Amino acid sequence: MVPTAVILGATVALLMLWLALAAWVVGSRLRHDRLLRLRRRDAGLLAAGGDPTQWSRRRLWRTADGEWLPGVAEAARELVSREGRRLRRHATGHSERKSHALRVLTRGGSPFAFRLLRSSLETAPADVRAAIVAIAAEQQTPAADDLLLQILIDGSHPRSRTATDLAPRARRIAPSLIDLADHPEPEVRYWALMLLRGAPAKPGVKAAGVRCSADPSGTVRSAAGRLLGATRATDVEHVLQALLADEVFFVRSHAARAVGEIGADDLADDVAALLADTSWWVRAAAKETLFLLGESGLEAATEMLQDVDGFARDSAREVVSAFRRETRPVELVG
Amino acid sequence: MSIVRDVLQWTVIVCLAYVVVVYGAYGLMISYSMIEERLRRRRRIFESLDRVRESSLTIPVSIIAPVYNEAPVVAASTRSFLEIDYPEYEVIVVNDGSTDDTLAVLEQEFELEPIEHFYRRRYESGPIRGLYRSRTHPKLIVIDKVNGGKADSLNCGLNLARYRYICGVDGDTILSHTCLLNGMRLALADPQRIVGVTGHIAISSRPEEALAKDGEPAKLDKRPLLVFQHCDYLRSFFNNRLGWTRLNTMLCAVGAFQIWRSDVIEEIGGFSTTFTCEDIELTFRVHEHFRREGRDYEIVALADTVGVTEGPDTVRTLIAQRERWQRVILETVIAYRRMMFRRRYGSVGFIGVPFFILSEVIAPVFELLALLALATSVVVGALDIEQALLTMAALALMNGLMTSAAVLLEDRTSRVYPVSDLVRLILLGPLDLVIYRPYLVWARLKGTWRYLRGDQGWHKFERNARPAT
Repeated sequence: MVPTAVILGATVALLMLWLALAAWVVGSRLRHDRLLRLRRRDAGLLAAGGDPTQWSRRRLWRTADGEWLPGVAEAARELVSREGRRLRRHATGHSERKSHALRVLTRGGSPFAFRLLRSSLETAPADVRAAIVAIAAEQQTPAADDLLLQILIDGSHPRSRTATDLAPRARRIAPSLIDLADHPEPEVRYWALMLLRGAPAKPGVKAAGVRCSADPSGTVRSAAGRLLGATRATDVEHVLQALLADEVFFVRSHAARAVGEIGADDLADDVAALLADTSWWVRAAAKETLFLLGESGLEAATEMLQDVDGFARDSAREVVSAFRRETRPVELVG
Repeated sequence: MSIVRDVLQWTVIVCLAYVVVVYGAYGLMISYSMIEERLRRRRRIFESLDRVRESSLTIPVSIIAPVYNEAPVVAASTRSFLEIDYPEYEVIVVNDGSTDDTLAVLEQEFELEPIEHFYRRRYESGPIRGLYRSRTHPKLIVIDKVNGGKADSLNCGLNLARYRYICGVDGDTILSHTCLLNGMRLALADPQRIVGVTGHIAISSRPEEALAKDGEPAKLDKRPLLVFQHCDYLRSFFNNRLGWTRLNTMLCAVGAFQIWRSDVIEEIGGFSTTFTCEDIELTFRVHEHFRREGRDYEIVALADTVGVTEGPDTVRTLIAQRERWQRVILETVIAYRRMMFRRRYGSVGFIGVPFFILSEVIAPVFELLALLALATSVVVGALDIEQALLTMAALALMNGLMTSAAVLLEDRTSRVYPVSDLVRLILLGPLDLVIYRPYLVWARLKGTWRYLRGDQGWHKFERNARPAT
């Protein structure tokens, strides 16, 4: 039906393609392994005080553009001093090299680096913006802090991811975050408060939490509750008491947990009343908090054993039985 | 004789047309997968998992693992769940009325003690016989319930889950340490839009021995049957699911690792107990729900190997497993046939479901037809043996190409297997057609037949034999 030559031709073509693809797979892997080995070796040499001035451009690029290891910054600095102009050209272009050039310039401490990162944010596609956040996150400098904060504010990258990169520097940037707690956009206020949980002892943090506990946005009020819990301040009981009666269920739930965190024994009865809440999340938080409060929690839960609400009675029974079993569950302590 | 030749000729033409269409569709999907993989790789070069790991802002996850007669592996799999590297999560193991020592093994290994716990019954599920918490691992809760199937167990676990995301896993799956970091990294990028995440699972006859010290999959199983299955998983995941993600038409979040936003599961009423298997049906239902309401959403496939699961190590058990899969696909596709070619369902209706039908539902019929036509053509002299062998070789090489493309995509993402394993996978690719595929054709035909007869049993395959310890 079909001439043998045609089938043979197709088979040979497929065989060639298969061999080529196989060679690509193995070759790409061998090249990758070699690159990784050389990168680590060269970064190690520089970290041990090696001199990169005699290294070839290719070797410097290979080391400077790899994973963030000790020694990589030295290679980047040398490359920036030799190839700064060319790197800047790549960094302002639109090719795939853009993100890599930006990374080397930033690692090498180029004075143009952060200006280029900022200007790229406006026009770059999502993957380059993600790279910019990661590049800035490697640097523990005020310029990097400012850039990350700007990205958090303008929302040019998912705020949850930017906040992840900002979290380790929360103490350092606390004053800026306190300002952002009054930002017009609720999502920015929310993330500012969430990040401030990493700097609870800084001056002004507690006041920001108290201020935002009356925010029109429920998510912001819930973050304020969580922040107040993280401050461990005992003089915010009245604020938490108001949040325990909030109309939004997750605000009540976070406020209940915050009561446990600050150990507000006086609010044990208010928390116990939440065992009869309409939301499961609030009841679950109330159970955990009563447990965390210890003696006062047990007393409040015991009173709820006679409550008219079946859910409240069951939950109170669970709390009381948990107290009988052990003093405090490990995952809730601290 | 001429009538026979005519019939044969037309059969061959139809089969050839099918081959061209199906391999064309595969080729197209591979190109989409390559685009997706390239984009992900460009992002990953710069991303650091360490920052996600150390962050207090990650979203907590409840892992739910239904187990039924998993005594040989349940300790190892539960330990792997507890060793996951993630800031905040809980593990809920649901013993679905096992008739072996599963619960006893868990009690002994994790020092379980009974607890009183009142939970919200959002989803219907079988009665609970007992609730336990581990003394040694506070993250672990074990539910002992009356047997009701996997979906029923997942619903039961959902009733106790505390967190915003749930991760359904199989009780015989050993998860890698970074599975949640990788999975939730995607969800964190856009928690409003990303409602589901799934990941690639590797295959081994003894998954508990397949992870390296750093908790990542490290070696291929030695047995060819397992390696063929591994190739099969690679093809289905890297050639198809990554492409589906690109087109937002991810049709099956695998049961061995499926992360969902719990509010989405609640909206659609939990896992369905009326289908033989829950994973593919749930994915279809989520698509149907969101597309019908015109809401923006995404279900994504990770380009990472998130764990190792036990694959059947005998032909009999392999056929039993794949026969069930075929029934499950048929059940789901037929139940959701209304989505096909309807504008409201977008890429799912125009690309996803038709592709599924083409490559899965009707494939066994054409595979059988092609085999019969080829054999008869040789017998009646319409095709000489040389031509038949060359045709087989061409088809085998097509399969080899598909496998190599999947190996390339997998290796560029994870770089976990040594070069020798990559070579082994590539070399076995073309042999798949003659050694492995016939079993699948048989299993699919059997599954189709059983579906037509209304069989909805799980027919769980026996655990692979393990040396006595």
